[in-house]
Amino acid sequence: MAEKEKGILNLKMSRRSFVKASAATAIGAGVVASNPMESAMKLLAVEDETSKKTESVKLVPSVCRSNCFQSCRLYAHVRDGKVVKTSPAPYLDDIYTGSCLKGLSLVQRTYSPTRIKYPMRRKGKRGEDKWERISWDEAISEIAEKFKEIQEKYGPRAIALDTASGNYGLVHGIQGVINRFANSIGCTKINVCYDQAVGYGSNRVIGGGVWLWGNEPRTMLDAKNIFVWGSNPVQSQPQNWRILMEAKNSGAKVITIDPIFSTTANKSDEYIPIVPGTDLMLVLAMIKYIIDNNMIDAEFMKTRTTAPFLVRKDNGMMLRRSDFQPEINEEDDDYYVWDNVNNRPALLSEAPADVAIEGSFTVNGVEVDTVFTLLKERVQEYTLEKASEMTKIPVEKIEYLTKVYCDGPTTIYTNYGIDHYQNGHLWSFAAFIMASITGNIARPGAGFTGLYVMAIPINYTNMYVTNGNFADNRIPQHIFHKVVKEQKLFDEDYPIKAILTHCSNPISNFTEQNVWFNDIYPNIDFHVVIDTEFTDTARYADIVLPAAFWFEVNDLRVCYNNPYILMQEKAIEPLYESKSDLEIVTLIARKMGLEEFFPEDCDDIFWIKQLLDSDVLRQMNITYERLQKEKVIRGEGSAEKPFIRGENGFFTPTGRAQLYCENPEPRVDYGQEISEDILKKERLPYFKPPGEAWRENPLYKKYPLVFIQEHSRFRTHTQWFNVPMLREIDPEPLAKISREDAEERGIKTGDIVEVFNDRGKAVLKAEVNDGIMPGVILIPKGWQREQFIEGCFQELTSSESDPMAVNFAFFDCLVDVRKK
Amino acid sequence: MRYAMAIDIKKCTGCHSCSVACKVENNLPDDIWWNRVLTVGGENMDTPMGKFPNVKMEYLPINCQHCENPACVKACPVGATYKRKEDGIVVQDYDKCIGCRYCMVACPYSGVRQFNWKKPEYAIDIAMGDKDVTKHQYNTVEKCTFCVHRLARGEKPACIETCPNRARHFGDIDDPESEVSKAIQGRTYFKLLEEKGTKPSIYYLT
Ligand code: SF4
Ligand code: SF4
Ligand code: SF4
Repeated sequence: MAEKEKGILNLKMSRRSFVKASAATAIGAGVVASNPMESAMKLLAVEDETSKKTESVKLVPSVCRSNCFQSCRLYAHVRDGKVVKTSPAPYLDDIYTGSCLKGLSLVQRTYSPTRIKYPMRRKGKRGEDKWERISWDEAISEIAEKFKEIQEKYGPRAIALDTASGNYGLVHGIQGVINRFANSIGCTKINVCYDQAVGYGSNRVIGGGVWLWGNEPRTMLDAKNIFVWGSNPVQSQPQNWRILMEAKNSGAKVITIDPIFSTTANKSDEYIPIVPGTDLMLVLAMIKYIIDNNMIDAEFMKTRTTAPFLVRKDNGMMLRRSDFQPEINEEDDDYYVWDNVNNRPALLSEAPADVAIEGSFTVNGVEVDTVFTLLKERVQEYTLEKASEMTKIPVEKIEYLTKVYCDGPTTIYTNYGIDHYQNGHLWSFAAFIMASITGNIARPGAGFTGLYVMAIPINYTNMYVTNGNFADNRIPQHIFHKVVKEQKLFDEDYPIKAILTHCSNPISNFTEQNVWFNDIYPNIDFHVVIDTEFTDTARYADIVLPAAFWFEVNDLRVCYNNPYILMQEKAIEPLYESKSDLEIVTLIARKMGLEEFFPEDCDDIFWIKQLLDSDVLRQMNITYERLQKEKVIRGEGSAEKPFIRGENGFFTPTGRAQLYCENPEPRVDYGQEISEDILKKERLPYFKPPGEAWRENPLYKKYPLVFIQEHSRFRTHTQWFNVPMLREIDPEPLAKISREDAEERGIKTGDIVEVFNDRGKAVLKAEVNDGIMPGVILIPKGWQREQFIEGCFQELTSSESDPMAVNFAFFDCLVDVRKK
Repeated sequence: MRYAMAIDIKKCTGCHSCSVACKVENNLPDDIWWNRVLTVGGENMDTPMGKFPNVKMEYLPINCQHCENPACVKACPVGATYKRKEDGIVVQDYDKCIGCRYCMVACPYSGVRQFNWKKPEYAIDIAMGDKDVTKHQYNTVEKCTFCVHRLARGEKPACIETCPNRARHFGDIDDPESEVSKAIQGRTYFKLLEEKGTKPSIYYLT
């Protein structure tokens, strides 16, 4: 009998205590329904979360560190030294508490049957997937020797560090100690070209660099309308979607603009299909309509934007005091505006409230226009009819959209869909201008969200600065293969002989996959990959090092899309022979003679303390001690007053939203050629068609389908690519084809098809999908080469980039499909 | 007292978090799912029906409906599946189950009952989830238990706690103050295949 006292039988026997317990649940449940915050509050009231135990199970505070732009706080449930489950851990502001199926399946990533267990050395040909197990000593010695040899022979930059978004821990991840290593050896650090265009465009208007453009998501609750534009949060940011849905349920109108009837479109009030890559035209036409119909917010434009600033006709520069008094100090300089009261020019600091936002004037013989006048002139050609013809959105629909947008507060929920075309930065440049001329920014419920990052003064200097050397960060990812192939950056000799890959899977995530096999590998001698799984990239390495997984280390995270900074505690020891990224980097560095900068006893806690060692953080009451006790701290804003970007001024030289960019500069200057004409044009937004995915492109006749690599629920980029339980639900890659295109080609669901262009192919199963616009084809991203019948989705994409934004344009890609 | 569940179809995005939470919590063997999410739309998961762009889809998460009048119980020749008088949960006793699968035939909600055709296999070496869940057995039928082991500790079922859209509610339907009763209040709902007379305990809010 004792044997049988288990599970359900056991519960049956203790019926009395069970009935008592469930009565308590029912009451508790009632409370939860009336106040969903309460349950989280109760949990947080427990002083030390680590001491919270259910019998033999310990709940260790953790966080998901994927790059989905969410930051779900998790508990790692540890029993007998093993992580047996993950569950959402509460945030103080309960609206942010949650986790998706990826966070909930992390046990299978931790104990993955295919996890890299030991250091491995390539045995067969590169990519053949034949390995021999080696000791850590052997691996580290070989790596250090090779790295030193290469640097001696070819110079420090001949080692290229490739690090990306596979881990957002501040110690072990992309921002972590790997940078200390890269700086101290002065290597090349490949410049990341993922998702740069939107922020590059918004930076022209509101400043803050590439990442600081979004509001705290909670502010969507204050929005009257939400435009989901260039994003599919239901799948890609499911936690943001929860907030968006709450806004919708309390009355906000949700409109999704997308070439695909996405799962988000399905949940929206309205779905507006749009031709891929024409979003820029839509926003330009909306701006024109707003201006023509005087739907602007003139007051906001006068006080919070550069609309009234004067621009010289002769050189396109803004008119400043220094134009007439070249001797004055920079801090005494000022901008000219037109004083409407006295009908004369005035310095901004001396001007009355009534300044001209429109007009052309002469100031001391210099002819000028207001910024707004230039904007107005620029958008004249973007008529509703032209936009309608291009976007395939009816004229009345565009009018309607514009009216709804202006009847704010309206939030534009976006991410990086539009960013993935070569005209992406111009869209965000224009969209931020549209928000600024309508006052739809810098106030609750208005502006942009989708990626919200806090500006927290983490002390990276403590971690990054060593011997005065710095990594060379000029080579962008999209030309990396060219530099390696030619061993030159344009005319400059630039040998690259080794690659160190860390929390990154470039073969799968860079565009134009075949350049790895044709251009890169034939020209490098040595590739080291640090990872937990045999990704596409790991398979092609010379040495693979097993990294400890998230639960096996301590780390610190500044969250994305919520206002928290938090501690993640080590739940279990590193599995098998894996070591933490910190330890691996330290071992290599020490072996290379950098003992001074990588002392043996500096563990992750040491580095967490270093990163938090800042007076500004102390003033904000963000300290290691407090984090250790509370685990999670809000960094800015509050539930009552969520953080709104620009509310207290914009991070621009003028402090205003800038509708005109005097000196457009490329995001990275790697020596690319940019004509004077383009530089001049880039001062204001204009229509530039997508680079490849465009009906006027001659290639369109040969390859009439725009290929979009959709984000699925089951993976973040390539992470989770091989989690057994997720593959039970979503077993294999699918080419999703519109009914019209499928019928034209005689393709039925389940057929094996080849998606192809001149760069490569992917052979996989087809799915006829009525949610897809004719002329568009999808393959969800993240699948690895071995998961395709042949080829890979990433073989198809182009490495062409806009020279200003210097960004991967993944969706700017034409293909065709045929039945195999 | 009668346990019931309400699933808000308006909020459900078909994200499968409930399925995965259930799979982990109950350490379900490979290929066994007690809680599945169906797309009501096109022929594949996440595909809509209609002609682009006038298309639509819905999601239907399905687990055992813990029927008031369970067809499975009547079909079971050995009493391995039975309804608990005290709370209405339909449980399955693996030790008694002889693997005849009559219950699977009788249950109108195909797929909620799953059968271990082979010795349970697990993708990873460690047992996931709760230590109080019953060990899975070869040649037996199994299904959603409303997480009885969690209820016994005063916790809600795993799928309820983890739904990121907070679309799932649970509690005692006899108690007007319970979470599930409150969730249903003032809402229209449907139940699955009511014509079969099984009187399911899952309310789909629309
Ligand atoms: S993948 Fe993203 S949404 Fe899912 S648990 Fe991790 S952080 Fe949260
Ligand atoms: S977790 Fe919630 S939203 Fe997701 S499929 Fe299940 S019921 Fe639907
Ligand atoms: S849903 Fe099927 S298995 Fe569940 S109680 Fe009803 S008849 Fe039985």
